[in-house]
Amino acid sequence: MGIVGPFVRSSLRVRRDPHAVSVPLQTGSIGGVGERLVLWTGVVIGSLLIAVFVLTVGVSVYEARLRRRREAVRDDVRAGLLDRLYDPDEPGWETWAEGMSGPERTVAEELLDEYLRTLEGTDAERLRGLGTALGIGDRSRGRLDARDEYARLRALGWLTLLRDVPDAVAAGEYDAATPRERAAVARLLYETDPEAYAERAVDVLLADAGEAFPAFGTDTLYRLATTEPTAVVEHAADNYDRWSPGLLAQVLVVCRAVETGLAGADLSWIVALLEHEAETVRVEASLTLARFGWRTPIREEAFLRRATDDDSPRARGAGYTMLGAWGDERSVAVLAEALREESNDRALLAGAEALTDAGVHRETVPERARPAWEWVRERRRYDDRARNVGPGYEGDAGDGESGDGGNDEGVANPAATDPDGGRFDWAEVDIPDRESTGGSPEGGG
Amino acid sequence: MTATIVTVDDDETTRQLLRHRLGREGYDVHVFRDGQAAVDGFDDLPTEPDLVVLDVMMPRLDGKRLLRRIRNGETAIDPGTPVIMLTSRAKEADVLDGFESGADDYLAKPFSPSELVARVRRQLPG
Repeated sequence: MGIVGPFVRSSLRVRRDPHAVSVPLQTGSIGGVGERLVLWTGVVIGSLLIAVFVLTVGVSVYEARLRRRREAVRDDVRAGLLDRLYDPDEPGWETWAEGMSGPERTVAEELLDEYLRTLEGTDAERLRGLGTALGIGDRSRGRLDARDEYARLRALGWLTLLRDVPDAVAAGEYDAATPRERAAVARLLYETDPEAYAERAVDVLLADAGEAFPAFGTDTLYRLATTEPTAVVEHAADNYDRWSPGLLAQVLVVCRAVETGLAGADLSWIVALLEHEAETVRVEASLTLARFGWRTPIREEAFLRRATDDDSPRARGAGYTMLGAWGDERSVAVLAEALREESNDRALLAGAEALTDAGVHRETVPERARPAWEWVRERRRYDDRARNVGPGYEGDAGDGESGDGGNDEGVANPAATDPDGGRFDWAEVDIPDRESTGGSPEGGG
Repeated sequence: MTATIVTVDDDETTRQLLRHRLGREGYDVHVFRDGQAAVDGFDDLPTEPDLVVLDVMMPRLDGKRLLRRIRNGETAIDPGTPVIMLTSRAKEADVLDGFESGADDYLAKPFSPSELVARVRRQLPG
Protein backbone atom coordinates (compact mmCIF):
# COMPACT_ATOMS: atom_id res chain seq x y z
CA MET A 1 0.00 0.00 0.00
CA GLY A 2 2.95 2.31 0.58
CA ILE A 3 1.82 5.80 1.51
CA VAL A 4 -1.78 5.34 0.42
CA GLY A 5 -2.64 2.65 2.98
CA PRO A 6 -1.78 4.63 6.13
CA PHE A 7 -3.48 7.70 4.69
CA VAL A 8 -6.78 5.80 4.09
CA ARG A 9 -6.65 4.22 7.52
CA SER A 10 -5.96 7.61 9.13
CA SER A 11 -8.94 9.09 7.29
CA LEU A 12 -11.24 6.32 8.48
CA ARG A 13 -10.09 6.78 12.03
CA VAL A 14 -10.89 10.45 11.94
CA ARG A 15 -14.39 9.75 10.68
CA ARG A 16 -15.07 7.23 13.45
CA ASP A 17 -13.62 9.37 16.21
CA PRO A 18 -16.62 10.55 18.33
CA HIS A 19 -14.62 13.48 19.61
CA ALA A 20 -13.69 14.64 16.23
CA VAL A 21 -15.10 18.02 15.30
CA SER A 22 -17.62 17.69 12.55
CA VAL A 23 -17.17 20.19 9.78
CA PRO A 24 -20.18 20.02 7.51
CA LEU A 25 -19.43 20.06 3.82
CA GLN A 26 -20.41 23.33 2.21
CA THR A 27 -23.25 22.15 0.04
CA GLY A 28 -25.39 25.25 0.33
CA SER A 29 -27.04 27.01 -2.59
CA ILE A 30 -24.00 29.18 -3.41
CA GLY A 31 -21.69 26.20 -3.73
CA GLY A 32 -24.24 24.35 -5.87
CA VAL A 33 -24.67 27.21 -8.29
CA GLY A 34 -20.92 27.52 -8.58
CA GLU A 35 -20.48 23.86 -9.36
CA ARG A 36 -23.28 23.89 -11.86
CA LEU A 37 -21.82 27.04 -13.46
CA VAL A 38 -18.42 25.37 -13.79
CA LEU A 39 -20.07 22.26 -15.13
CA TRP A 40 -22.13 24.11 -17.73
CA THR A 41 -19.21 26.30 -18.73
CA GLY A 42 -17.22 23.14 -19.33
CA VAL A 43 -20.04 21.64 -21.33
CA VAL A 44 -20.41 24.77 -23.47
CA ILE A 45 -16.67 25.10 -24.11
CA GLY A 46 -16.40 21.40 -24.86
CA SER A 47 -19.35 21.60 -27.23
CA LEU A 48 -17.85 24.61 -28.97
CA LEU A 49 -14.53 22.82 -29.35
CA ILE A 50 -16.26 19.78 -30.77
CA ALA A 51 -18.32 21.97 -33.12
CA VAL A 52 -15.21 23.83 -34.31
CA PHE A 53 -13.42 20.54 -34.80
CA VAL A 54 -16.32 19.05 -36.76
CA LEU A 55 -16.66 22.25 -38.80
CA THR A 56 -12.94 22.37 -39.56
CA VAL A 57 -12.86 18.74 -40.62
CA GLY A 58 -16.04 19.20 -42.64
CA VAL A 59 -14.78 22.29 -44.46
CA SER A 60 -11.41 20.62 -45.09
CA VAL A 61 -13.09 17.54 -46.53
CA TYR A 62 -15.38 19.72 -48.65
CA GLU A 63 -12.45 21.82 -49.91
CA ALA A 64 -10.43 18.70 -50.62
CA ARG A 65 -13.31 17.28 -52.65
CA LEU A 66 -13.62 20.53 -54.59
CA ARG A 67 -9.88 20.60 -55.16
CA ARG A 68 -9.91 17.02 -56.41
CA ARG A 69 -12.78 17.77 -58.75
CA ARG A 70 -10.95 20.83 -60.07
CA GLU A 71 -7.69 18.97 -60.49
CA ALA A 72 -9.53 16.21 -62.34
CA VAL A 73 -10.68 18.67 -65.00
CA ARG A 74 -7.62 20.96 -65.06
CA ASP A 75 -5.79 19.23 -67.90
CA ASP A 76 -8.91 19.09 -70.06
CA VAL A 77 -9.73 22.74 -69.43
CA ARG A 78 -6.13 23.75 -70.16
CA ALA A 79 -6.13 21.77 -73.38
CA GLY A 80 -9.49 23.28 -74.36
CA LEU A 81 -8.22 26.75 -73.61
CA LEU A 82 -5.03 26.34 -75.64
CA ASP A 83 -6.85 24.64 -78.52
CA ARG A 84 -9.31 27.52 -78.77
CA LEU A 85 -6.62 30.12 -78.27
CA TYR A 86 -4.73 28.85 -81.30
CA ASP A 87 -7.70 27.77 -83.34
CA PRO A 88 -7.35 29.32 -86.79
CA ASP A 89 -11.09 30.04 -86.73
CA GLU A 90 -13.10 31.83 -84.07
CA PRO A 91 -12.31 30.55 -80.56
CA GLY A 92 -15.98 30.16 -79.56
CA TRP A 93 -15.42 31.23 -75.96
CA GLU A 94 -19.13 31.91 -75.32
CA THR A 95 -20.25 28.44 -76.34
CA TRP A 96 -17.46 26.82 -74.38
CA ALA A 97 -18.15 28.84 -71.24
CA GLU A 98 -21.87 28.08 -71.36
CA GLY A 99 -21.22 24.36 -71.30
CA MET A 100 -18.84 24.43 -68.33
CA SER A 101 -19.56 22.87 -64.95
CA GLY A 102 -18.81 24.75 -61.75
CA PRO A 103 -15.35 23.27 -61.22
CA GLU A 104 -14.51 23.80 -64.88
CA ARG A 105 -15.42 27.47 -64.65
CA THR A 106 -13.26 27.90 -61.56
CA VAL A 107 -10.31 26.22 -63.24
CA ALA A 108 -10.86 28.24 -66.41
CA GLU A 109 -10.70 31.44 -64.35
CA GLU A 110 -7.52 30.30 -62.61
CA LEU A 111 -5.87 29.42 -65.91
CA LEU A 112 -7.06 32.64 -67.50
CA ASP A 113 -5.42 34.58 -64.68
CA GLU A 114 -2.15 32.69 -65.18
CA TYR A 115 -2.06 32.99 -68.95
CA LEU A 116 -3.02 36.66 -69.06
CA ARG A 117 -0.04 37.35 -66.81
CA THR A 118 2.24 35.31 -69.08
CA LEU A 119 1.06 36.37 -72.52
CA GLU A 120 0.97 39.60 -74.40
CA GLY A 121 0.20 40.68 -77.93
CA THR A 122 -2.51 39.18 -80.09
CA ASP A 123 -2.63 35.96 -78.07
CA ALA A 124 -3.45 37.84 -74.89
CA GLU A 125 -5.99 39.98 -76.69
CA ARG A 126 -7.75 36.91 -78.01
CA LEU A 127 -7.68 35.23 -74.61
CA ARG A 128 -9.41 38.21 -72.99
CA GLY A 129 -12.51 37.12 -74.84
CA LEU A 130 -12.70 34.18 -72.45
CA GLY A 131 -12.82 36.60 -69.53
CA THR A 132 -15.79 38.32 -71.09
CA ALA A 133 -17.47 34.98 -71.81
CA LEU A 134 -17.02 33.92 -68.19
CA GLY A 135 -18.58 37.19 -67.04
CA ILE A 136 -15.48 38.25 -65.13
CA GLY A 137 -15.53 41.80 -66.46
CA ASP A 138 -19.13 42.46 -65.44
CA ARG A 139 -18.64 40.79 -62.09
CA SER A 140 -15.53 42.84 -61.36
CA ARG A 141 -17.24 46.10 -62.27
CA GLY A 142 -19.98 45.24 -59.81
CA ARG A 143 -17.46 44.59 -57.06
CA LEU A 144 -15.86 48.01 -57.33
CA ASP A 145 -18.53 49.17 -54.87
CA ALA A 146 -17.77 46.43 -52.35
CA ARG A 147 -17.06 47.52 -48.78
CA ASP A 148 -14.17 45.07 -48.47
CA GLU A 149 -11.00 46.67 -49.83
CA TYR A 150 -9.55 43.35 -50.91
CA ALA A 151 -12.67 42.57 -52.95
CA ARG A 152 -12.20 45.91 -54.74
CA LEU A 153 -8.50 45.20 -55.26
CA ARG A 154 -9.27 41.79 -56.74
CA ALA A 155 -11.82 43.38 -59.05
CA LEU A 156 -9.31 46.01 -60.15
CA GLY A 157 -6.74 43.28 -60.72
CA TRP A 158 -9.09 41.40 -63.04
CA LEU A 159 -10.06 44.56 -64.90
CA THR A 160 -6.36 45.26 -65.41
CA LEU A 161 -5.77 41.78 -66.83
CA LEU A 162 -8.77 42.26 -69.11
CA ARG A 163 -7.69 45.82 -70.05
CA ASP A 164 -11.21 46.90 -69.22
CA VAL A 165 -11.49 50.43 -67.82
CA PRO A 166 -14.95 51.24 -66.40
CA ASP A 167 -16.33 54.63 -67.41
CA ALA A 168 -16.19 55.97 -63.86
CA VAL A 169 -12.49 55.16 -63.63
CA ALA A 170 -11.75 56.63 -67.05
CA ALA A 171 -13.60 59.81 -66.10
CA GLY A 172 -11.69 60.14 -62.84
CA GLU A 173 -14.87 59.69 -60.81
CA TYR A 174 -13.79 56.54 -59.01
CA ASP A 175 -12.73 57.33 -55.46
CA ALA A 176 -9.80 55.16 -54.44
CA ALA A 177 -9.64 55.01 -50.68
CA THR A 178 -6.14 53.75 -49.88
CA PRO A 179 -2.63 53.95 -51.36
CA ARG A 180 -3.00 50.29 -52.42
CA GLU A 181 -6.23 51.02 -54.22
CA ARG A 182 -4.84 54.18 -55.83
CA ALA A 183 -1.94 52.12 -57.13
CA ALA A 184 -4.34 49.48 -58.48
CA VAL A 185 -6.44 52.09 -60.29
CA ALA A 186 -3.32 53.78 -61.67
CA ARG A 187 -2.07 50.40 -62.86
CA LEU A 188 -5.41 49.65 -64.54
CA LEU A 189 -5.23 52.92 -66.46
CA TYR A 190 -1.57 52.56 -67.32
CA GLU A 191 -1.72 48.94 -68.48
CA THR A 192 -4.84 49.52 -70.56
CA ASP A 193 -3.47 52.42 -72.56
CA PRO A 194 -0.21 54.03 -71.43
CA GLU A 195 -0.36 56.76 -74.01
CA ALA A 196 -3.91 57.84 -73.28
CA TYR A 197 -4.04 57.35 -69.54
CA ALA A 198 -0.51 57.84 -68.19
CA GLU A 199 -1.11 61.40 -67.03
CA ARG A 200 -4.46 60.51 -65.45
CA ALA A 201 -2.80 57.54 -63.76
CA VAL A 202 -0.14 59.81 -62.26
CA ASP A 203 -2.91 62.05 -60.94
CA VAL A 204 -4.71 59.10 -59.38
CA LEU A 205 -1.53 57.77 -57.82
CA LEU A 206 -0.11 60.99 -56.43
CA ALA A 207 -2.99 63.46 -56.07
CA ASP A 208 -3.91 62.46 -52.52
CA ALA A 209 -0.74 60.62 -51.67
CA GLY A 210 1.01 61.30 -48.43
CA GLU A 211 2.44 58.05 -47.17
CA ALA A 212 4.88 55.66 -48.80
CA PHE A 213 3.51 53.11 -51.23
CA PRO A 214 3.79 49.35 -50.83
CA ALA A 215 5.98 47.55 -53.37
CA PHE A 216 3.23 47.34 -55.98
CA GLY A 217 2.64 51.08 -55.75
CA THR A 218 6.34 51.83 -56.08
CA ASP A 219 6.56 49.63 -59.14
CA THR A 220 3.54 51.42 -60.60
CA LEU A 221 5.12 54.77 -59.86
CA TYR A 222 8.28 53.70 -61.65
CA ARG A 223 6.38 52.50 -64.71
CA LEU A 224 4.41 55.74 -64.84
CA ALA A 225 7.56 57.79 -64.43
CA THR A 226 9.19 56.05 -67.39
CA THR A 227 6.18 56.97 -69.53
CA GLU A 228 5.21 60.34 -68.07
CA PRO A 229 8.22 61.64 -66.09
CA THR A 230 7.21 65.27 -66.30
CA ALA A 231 3.85 64.65 -64.64
CA VAL A 232 5.53 62.83 -61.75
CA VAL A 233 8.05 65.63 -61.23
CA GLU A 234 5.36 68.31 -61.42
CA HIS A 235 3.35 66.52 -58.75
CA ALA A 236 6.46 66.24 -56.61
CA ALA A 237 7.31 69.92 -57.04
CA ASP A 238 3.77 70.91 -55.99
CA ASN A 239 3.34 68.51 -53.08
CA TYR A 240 6.74 67.53 -51.72
CA ASP A 241 6.31 69.59 -48.57
CA ARG A 242 3.31 67.54 -47.43
CA TRP A 243 4.68 64.12 -48.32
CA SER A 244 6.08 61.72 -45.76
CA PRO A 245 9.81 60.96 -45.78
CA GLY A 246 9.04 57.45 -47.05
CA LEU A 247 7.10 58.70 -50.06
CA LEU A 248 9.69 61.38 -50.79
CA ALA A 249 12.44 58.76 -50.77
CA GLN A 250 10.45 56.58 -53.18
CA VAL A 251 9.78 59.46 -55.57
CA LEU A 252 13.44 60.54 -55.48
CA VAL A 253 14.62 57.00 -56.23
CA VAL A 254 12.17 56.78 -59.14
CA CYS A 255 13.23 60.18 -60.51
CA ARG A 256 16.82 59.03 -60.31
CA ALA A 257 16.00 55.95 -62.34
CA VAL A 258 14.34 57.90 -65.16
CA GLU A 259 16.46 61.02 -65.14
CA THR A 260 16.94 61.08 -68.91
CA GLY A 261 13.31 62.05 -69.36
CA LEU A 262 13.52 65.08 -67.12
CA ALA A 263 15.42 67.55 -69.23
CA GLY A 264 14.37 71.05 -68.38
CA ALA A 265 12.14 70.04 -65.45
CA ASP A 266 12.01 72.16 -62.30
CA LEU A 267 14.31 70.41 -59.84
CA SER A 268 14.42 73.10 -57.18
CA TRP A 269 12.30 70.89 -54.91
CA ILE A 270 15.10 68.32 -54.87
CA VAL A 271 17.55 71.01 -53.85
CA ALA A 272 15.15 72.07 -51.10
CA LEU A 273 15.04 68.49 -49.84
CA LEU A 274 18.73 68.68 -48.99
CA GLU A 275 17.47 70.59 -45.92
CA HIS A 276 14.80 68.00 -45.01
CA GLU A 277 14.74 66.84 -41.41
CA ALA A 278 14.83 63.16 -42.39
CA GLU A 279 18.31 61.81 -43.09
CA THR A 280 16.99 59.35 -45.70
CA VAL A 281 15.45 62.15 -47.71
CA ARG A 282 18.65 64.22 -47.63
CA VAL A 283 20.64 61.19 -48.75
CA GLU A 284 18.26 60.38 -51.62
CA ALA A 285 18.13 64.02 -52.67
CA SER A 286 21.92 64.16 -52.92
CA LEU A 287 22.10 60.91 -54.87
CA THR A 288 19.34 62.11 -57.20
CA LEU A 289 21.12 65.38 -57.87
CA ALA A 290 24.26 63.36 -58.52
CA ARG A 291 22.43 61.72 -61.40
CA PHE A 292 21.11 64.97 -62.82
CA GLY A 293 24.42 66.75 -62.82
CA TRP A 294 24.86 70.33 -61.78
CA ARG A 295 22.98 73.15 -63.34
CA THR A 296 23.72 76.81 -63.14
CA PRO A 297 20.68 77.59 -60.94
CA ILE A 298 21.83 74.99 -58.46
CA ARG A 299 25.32 76.38 -58.36
CA GLU A 300 23.97 79.87 -57.90
CA GLU A 301 22.26 78.68 -54.76
CA ALA A 302 25.68 77.87 -53.44
CA PHE A 303 24.65 74.67 -51.78
CA LEU A 304 27.83 72.76 -52.55
CA ARG A 305 29.28 73.33 -49.11
CA ARG A 306 25.94 72.79 -47.45
CA ALA A 307 25.87 69.28 -48.90
CA THR A 308 29.17 68.52 -47.19
CA ASP A 309 28.27 70.11 -43.85
CA ASP A 310 25.44 67.76 -42.90
CA ASP A 311 25.46 66.42 -39.34
CA SER A 312 24.74 62.94 -40.60
CA PRO A 313 27.79 61.03 -41.92
CA ARG A 314 25.51 59.13 -44.28
CA ALA A 315 24.12 62.34 -45.75
CA ARG A 316 27.62 63.79 -46.01
CA GLY A 317 28.71 60.63 -47.84
CA ALA A 318 25.82 61.07 -50.29
CA GLY A 319 26.86 64.69 -50.73
CA TYR A 320 30.39 63.57 -51.55
CA THR A 321 29.01 61.08 -54.05
CA MET A 322 27.06 63.88 -55.68
CA LEU A 323 30.09 66.11 -55.99
CA GLY A 324 32.26 63.30 -57.30
CA ALA A 325 29.60 62.39 -59.85
CA TRP A 326 29.53 65.94 -61.15
CA GLY A 327 33.32 65.95 -61.22
CA ASP A 328 33.72 69.55 -62.31
CA GLU A 329 36.58 71.58 -60.94
CA ARG A 330 34.59 73.49 -58.38
CA SER A 331 32.78 70.44 -57.03
CA VAL A 332 36.01 68.50 -56.69
CA ALA A 333 37.64 71.40 -54.88
CA VAL A 334 34.79 71.52 -52.36
CA LEU A 335 34.89 67.74 -52.01
CA ALA A 336 38.64 67.68 -51.35
CA GLU A 337 38.37 70.45 -48.81
CA ALA A 338 35.54 68.70 -46.97
CA LEU A 339 37.52 65.46 -46.79
CA ARG A 340 40.41 67.23 -45.06
CA GLU A 341 38.15 67.61 -42.02
CA GLU A 342 36.09 64.43 -42.35
CA SER A 343 36.14 62.42 -39.15
CA ASN A 344 33.76 59.56 -40.00
CA ASP A 345 35.33 56.53 -41.67
CA ARG A 346 32.32 55.61 -43.78
CA ALA A 347 31.89 59.15 -45.01
CA LEU A 348 35.61 59.26 -45.72
CA LEU A 349 35.28 56.09 -47.80
CA ALA A 350 32.34 57.58 -49.71
CA GLY A 351 34.48 60.66 -50.32
CA ALA A 352 37.34 58.50 -51.57
CA GLU A 353 34.96 56.74 -53.95
CA ALA A 354 33.77 60.13 -55.13
CA LEU A 355 37.32 61.34 -55.70
CA THR A 356 38.02 58.20 -57.69
CA ASP A 357 34.87 58.78 -59.74
CA ALA A 358 36.12 62.27 -60.46
CA GLY A 359 39.51 60.83 -61.43
CA VAL A 360 41.65 63.23 -59.45
CA HIS A 361 45.45 63.21 -59.26
CA ARG A 362 47.06 61.72 -56.21
CA GLU A 363 48.31 65.11 -55.04
CA THR A 364 44.76 66.45 -55.06
CA VAL A 365 43.63 63.80 -52.59
CA PRO A 366 43.81 65.14 -49.02
CA GLU A 367 46.25 63.32 -46.79
CA ARG A 368 43.44 62.17 -44.52
CA ALA A 369 41.57 60.49 -47.37
CA ARG A 370 44.59 59.01 -49.12
CA PRO A 371 44.53 55.51 -47.52
CA ALA A 372 40.83 55.15 -48.37
CA TRP A 373 41.48 56.45 -51.88
CA GLU A 374 44.29 53.94 -52.39
CA TRP A 375 42.04 51.17 -51.12
CA VAL A 376 39.24 52.19 -53.49
CA ARG A 377 41.61 52.25 -56.45
CA GLU A 378 43.01 48.85 -55.58
CA ARG A 379 39.56 47.35 -55.12
CA ARG A 380 38.34 48.73 -58.44
CA ARG A 381 41.44 47.49 -60.20
CA TYR A 382 40.84 44.02 -58.75
CA ASP A 383 37.15 44.07 -59.72
CA ASP A 384 38.02 45.16 -63.20
CA ARG A 385 40.53 42.37 -63.63
CA ALA A 386 38.12 39.82 -62.23
CA ARG A 387 35.47 40.87 -64.74
CA ASN A 388 37.74 41.10 -67.77
CA VAL A 389 39.69 37.91 -68.01
CA GLY A 390 39.38 37.53 -71.77
CA PRO A 391 42.43 37.55 -74.05
CA GLY A 392 43.71 40.93 -75.08
CA TYR A 393 42.38 42.77 -72.08
CA GLU A 394 44.73 45.47 -70.95
CA GLY A 395 42.42 47.79 -69.10
CA ASP A 396 42.90 49.01 -65.59
CA ALA A 397 39.72 50.60 -64.42
CA GLY A 398 39.71 53.22 -61.77
CA ASP A 399 43.39 53.72 -62.14
CA GLY A 400 44.77 55.86 -64.87
CA GLU A 401 47.61 56.34 -62.39
CA SER A 402 45.71 58.81 -60.35
CA GLY A 403 43.91 60.32 -63.21
CA ASP A 404 45.59 59.62 -66.48
CA GLY A 405 43.95 61.45 -69.25
CA GLY A 406 43.26 64.24 -66.88
CA ASN A 407 44.24 67.81 -66.82
CA ASP A 408 46.54 70.19 -65.16
CA GLU A 409 44.08 71.38 -62.59
CA GLY A 410 44.12 68.10 -60.81
CA VAL A 411 40.75 67.07 -62.18
CA ALA A 412 40.81 64.13 -64.47
CA ASN A 413 37.28 63.43 -65.44
CA PRO A 414 37.46 60.83 -68.21
CA ALA A 415 34.13 61.97 -69.58
CA ALA A 416 35.44 65.47 -69.85
CA THR A 417 38.31 64.43 -72.03
CA ASP A 418 37.71 64.18 -75.70
CA PRO A 419 38.95 61.24 -77.75
CA ASP A 420 41.75 63.29 -79.24
CA GLY A 421 43.25 64.01 -75.90
CA GLY A 422 41.97 67.53 -75.65
CA ARG A 423 39.65 68.85 -73.00
CA PHE A 424 36.12 70.05 -73.03
CA ASP A 425 35.36 73.18 -71.13
CA TRP A 426 34.10 72.20 -67.68
CA ALA A 427 31.42 74.85 -67.79
CA GLU A 428 29.98 73.21 -70.86
CA VAL A 429 29.77 69.76 -69.37
CA ASP A 430 26.87 69.29 -67.03
CA ILE A 431 26.88 65.57 -66.59
CA PRO A 432 29.82 63.25 -66.41
CA ASP A 433 28.92 60.23 -68.49
CA ARG A 434 30.50 57.35 -66.70
CA GLU A 435 29.41 53.89 -65.82
CA SER A 436 29.62 54.32 -62.09
CA THR A 437 27.15 57.15 -61.94
CA GLY A 438 25.28 56.83 -65.18
CA GLY A 439 25.08 60.60 -65.56
CA SER A 440 22.75 62.02 -68.12
CA PRO A 441 23.52 64.49 -70.85
CA GLU A 442 20.76 66.89 -69.95
CA GLY A 443 20.90 69.91 -67.78
CA GLY A 444 21.77 73.45 -68.50
CA GLY A 445 25.11 74.88 -67.55
CA MET B 1 12.70 16.77 -91.01
CA THR B 2 10.99 17.99 -87.82
CA ALA B 3 13.18 20.19 -85.66
CA THR B 4 13.49 19.22 -82.01
CA ILE B 5 13.09 21.96 -79.41
CA VAL B 6 13.80 21.61 -75.71
CA THR B 7 12.10 24.02 -73.33
CA VAL B 8 13.22 24.30 -69.73
CA ASP B 9 10.95 26.24 -67.38
CA ASP B 10 9.80 25.72 -63.81
CA ASP B 11 6.42 27.29 -64.54
CA GLU B 12 3.80 24.77 -65.56
CA THR B 13 1.78 27.41 -67.41
CA THR B 14 4.71 28.39 -69.59
CA ARG B 15 5.73 24.78 -70.18
CA GLN B 16 2.27 23.82 -71.41
CA LEU B 17 1.97 26.96 -73.47
CA LEU B 18 5.29 26.39 -75.23
CA ARG B 19 4.59 22.71 -75.79
CA HIS B 20 1.23 23.57 -77.34
CA ARG B 21 2.29 26.60 -79.39
CA LEU B 22 5.55 25.20 -80.72
CA GLY B 23 3.91 21.80 -81.22
CA ARG B 24 1.29 23.41 -83.43
CA GLU B 25 4.10 24.81 -85.54
CA GLY B 26 5.23 21.25 -86.19
CA TYR B 27 8.20 21.12 -83.86
CA ASP B 28 9.00 18.11 -81.72
CA VAL B 29 8.90 19.69 -78.25
CA HIS B 30 10.42 18.25 -75.07
CA VAL B 31 9.89 20.02 -71.76
CA PHE B 32 11.86 19.93 -68.50
CA ARG B 33 10.90 21.49 -65.20
CA ASP B 34 14.35 22.80 -64.24
CA GLY B 35 17.97 22.90 -65.33
CA GLN B 36 19.00 19.77 -63.50
CA ALA B 37 16.11 17.78 -64.97
CA ALA B 38 17.20 18.99 -68.39
CA VAL B 39 20.82 17.93 -67.85
CA ASP B 40 19.61 14.51 -66.69
CA GLY B 41 17.12 14.25 -69.55
CA PHE B 42 19.35 15.33 -72.43
CA ASP B 43 20.73 11.78 -72.59
CA ASP B 44 17.28 10.33 -73.13
CA LEU B 45 16.22 12.58 -75.99
CA PRO B 46 15.50 10.63 -79.17
CA THR B 47 17.41 13.17 -81.24
CA GLU B 48 19.85 15.96 -80.63
CA PRO B 49 17.87 19.17 -79.95
CA ASP B 50 18.05 21.87 -82.61
CA LEU B 51 17.20 24.66 -80.17
CA VAL B 52 16.72 25.25 -76.46
CA VAL B 53 14.27 27.72 -74.90
CA LEU B 54 15.50 28.44 -71.41
CA ASP B 55 14.05 30.16 -68.38
CA VAL B 56 16.58 31.97 -66.15
CA MET B 57 15.28 31.60 -62.61
CA MET B 58 14.72 27.95 -61.77
CA PRO B 59 15.32 25.76 -58.74
CA ARG B 60 18.28 23.34 -58.49
CA LEU B 61 20.09 24.53 -61.64
CA ASP B 62 19.18 27.95 -63.05
CA GLY B 63 19.16 28.93 -66.70
CA LYS B 64 22.43 30.82 -66.75
CA ARG B 65 24.34 27.98 -65.15
CA LEU B 66 22.73 25.46 -67.48
CA LEU B 67 23.63 27.65 -70.46
CA ARG B 68 27.21 27.84 -69.25
CA ARG B 69 27.35 24.06 -68.94
CA ILE B 70 25.93 23.64 -72.43
CA ARG B 71 28.48 26.06 -73.91
CA ASN B 72 31.30 24.38 -72.00
CA GLY B 73 30.32 21.02 -73.45
CA GLU B 74 29.40 19.63 -70.04
CA THR B 75 26.04 18.28 -71.21
CA ALA B 76 25.00 15.68 -73.73
CA ILE B 77 23.97 18.21 -76.36
CA ASP B 78 25.99 20.15 -78.91
CA PRO B 79 27.66 23.20 -77.24
CA GLY B 80 26.71 25.28 -80.27
CA THR B 81 22.97 24.60 -79.97
CA PRO B 82 21.05 27.89 -80.30
CA VAL B 83 19.56 29.02 -76.99
CA ILE B 84 16.75 31.52 -76.50
CA MET B 85 16.38 32.86 -72.98
CA LEU B 86 12.77 33.39 -71.93
CA THR B 87 12.51 35.12 -68.58
CA SER B 88 10.72 37.67 -66.49
CA ARG B 89 14.04 39.39 -65.79
CA ALA B 90 13.80 42.06 -68.43
CA LYS B 91 16.10 44.82 -67.27
CA GLU B 92 18.81 45.90 -69.65
CA ALA B 93 21.49 44.49 -67.36
CA ASP B 94 19.73 41.10 -67.30
CA VAL B 95 19.46 41.01 -71.08
CA LEU B 96 23.13 41.90 -71.50
CA ASP B 97 24.01 39.34 -68.86
CA GLY B 98 22.06 36.71 -70.80
CA PHE B 99 23.89 37.47 -74.02
CA GLU B 100 27.23 37.45 -72.22
CA SER B 101 26.36 34.02 -70.87
CA GLY B 102 26.08 32.78 -74.43
CA ALA B 103 22.40 33.17 -75.28
CA ASP B 104 21.55 33.61 -78.94
CA ASP B 105 18.36 35.53 -78.27
CA TYR B 106 16.44 36.92 -75.31
CA LEU B 107 12.71 37.34 -74.77
CA ALA B 108 11.09 38.86 -71.69
CA LYS B 109 7.90 37.65 -70.02
CA PRO B 110 5.11 38.43 -70.49
CA PHE B 111 5.78 37.46 -74.06
CA SER B 112 4.03 37.00 -77.35
CA PRO B 113 4.17 33.35 -78.45
CA SER B 114 3.98 34.49 -82.06
CA GLU B 115 7.11 36.54 -81.50
CA LEU B 116 8.80 33.55 -79.92
CA VAL B 117 7.92 31.40 -82.92
CA ALA B 118 9.41 34.03 -85.22
CA ARG B 119 12.61 34.06 -83.16
CA VAL B 120 12.74 30.28 -83.15
CA ARG B 121 12.43 30.20 -86.93
CA ARG B 122 15.25 32.71 -87.24
CA GLN B 123 17.55 30.55 -85.13
CA LEU B 124 16.82 27.28 -86.88
CA PRO B 125 18.71 26.54 -90.08
CA GLY B 126 16.73 26.20 -93.26
